[in-house]
Amino acid sequence: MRHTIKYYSSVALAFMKMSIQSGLEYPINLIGWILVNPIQFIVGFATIKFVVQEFGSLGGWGFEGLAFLYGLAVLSHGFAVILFIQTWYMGKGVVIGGFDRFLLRPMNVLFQFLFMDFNLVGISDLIPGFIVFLYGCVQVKFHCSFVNILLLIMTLAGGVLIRGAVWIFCGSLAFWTKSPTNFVGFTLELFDRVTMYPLTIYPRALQFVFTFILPLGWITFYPASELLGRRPDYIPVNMALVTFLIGVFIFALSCLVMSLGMRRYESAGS
Amino acid sequence: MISTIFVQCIVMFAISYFWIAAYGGTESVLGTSRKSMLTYTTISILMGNLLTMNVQHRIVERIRDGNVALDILKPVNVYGIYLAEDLGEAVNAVFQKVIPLLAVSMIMFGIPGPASGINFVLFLASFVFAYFINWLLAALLGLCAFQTISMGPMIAVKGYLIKLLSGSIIPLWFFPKGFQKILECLPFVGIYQVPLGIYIGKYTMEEIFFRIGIQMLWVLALLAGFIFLQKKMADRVLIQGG
Repeated sequence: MRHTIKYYSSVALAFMKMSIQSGLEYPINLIGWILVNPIQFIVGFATIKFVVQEFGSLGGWGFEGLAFLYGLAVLSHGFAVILFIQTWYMGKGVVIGGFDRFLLRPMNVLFQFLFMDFNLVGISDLIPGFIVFLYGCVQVKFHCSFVNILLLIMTLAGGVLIRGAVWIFCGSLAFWTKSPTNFVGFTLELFDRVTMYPLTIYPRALQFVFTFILPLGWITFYPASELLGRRPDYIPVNMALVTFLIGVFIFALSCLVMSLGMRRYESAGS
Repeated sequence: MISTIFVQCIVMFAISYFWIAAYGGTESVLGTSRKSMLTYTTISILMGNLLTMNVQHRIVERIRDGNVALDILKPVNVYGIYLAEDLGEAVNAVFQKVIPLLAVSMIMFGIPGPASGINFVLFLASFVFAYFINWLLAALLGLCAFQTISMGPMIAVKGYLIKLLSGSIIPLWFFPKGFQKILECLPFVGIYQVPLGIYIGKYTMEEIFFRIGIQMLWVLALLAGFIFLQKKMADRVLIQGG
């Protein structure tokens, strides 16, 4: 058992090293993305700033809280893109037989799939994320206690797992449909719209959907409410903790679906 | 194709609810009512579907695979071909995207009607100029590829900048005053802000004609720049070979 863990972690490290090296192979490209990618978040953040300046608040949230929420959303987006970008190409992998090499190796397929890519370009999202988030922290006078930091880490972990799980669910559809339909544009837009603004701006029905059916509200909105001390009294549990639990649960579920899908995988013909 | 419509629907819902939430209980902010803001949003998204330019990608692609040399050899104006392709795409988008989106929006948020019949006609005129400003900007960026070969993420950056600076999401009158003054001097406002402002009846008649005049001047200026740059770049093709 100990030997297996050691073996798997050494392979994971080797995978990571390889991805980072291949990311650094074209440094100009990487620097280009780091310079350029923040612009979309600056545009998004400026939109909120200008609107709140004129209108005062958005869905009951003032500018400080909105900055915190927006920063958290960009951060968790960045981490998710770094860790899970391989899930974007699952449909194509199924159609062109890309999973063959995983099946040929004497290792767990899911493990290989999850650790095969470490996308360095995602750092270009993390940097603006950190900047906006730190700005938001200062604005809301976020109390940096040990418990709060821990809750923050759990929030990010949970949020990243929820995003990854949604991508794996969407990608796994290809095992059944045998079609390389790409849902990435759709999910990214959905994530952005649900996580960057307070859920309270949407109608009740949508709030219900994003809380109980497709738990995207948990990526940032509920944990941010918790961390900013905006949790309503009638909810007795810590919402950052719930995010983490939902993340772990739904991610495990998505891995299960993918494993089931792998049984139907039939490579790409001759 | 279906998935693009879904994405557009999400964007439309999200921005509309964003504005509904921003307005809260108030009916009108800075002389813009909630109803006209929702109309502004819907029409802006519909326009966005018509203003999707392929010319920039097209030039970059043709330069990279060297086929641009063959394109230039043909006895027609190659940029005319690119423009015709984009116009064709726009006509196609009317049926595949604009009409379905409009239907969804009417069900959700009511009919996004123009301020008056005259406003609608002037909006159409202004939109034609907006189209050419946008097309020429895209083509100018595409021409840069003759020099740089690869454009990397620059095309996406231009997209984001236009999104913010043209008033496609937030109208300029909600921007800080100093920023507004700078933006008024740039061509981007002529792409979304001017036609949309006309549509919702934000401007007086004189202002409308003044603004359409400025749009016209921008088209001429960009066209002059385009012709100049295109002549210069045509020489570069020979150096690069096909």
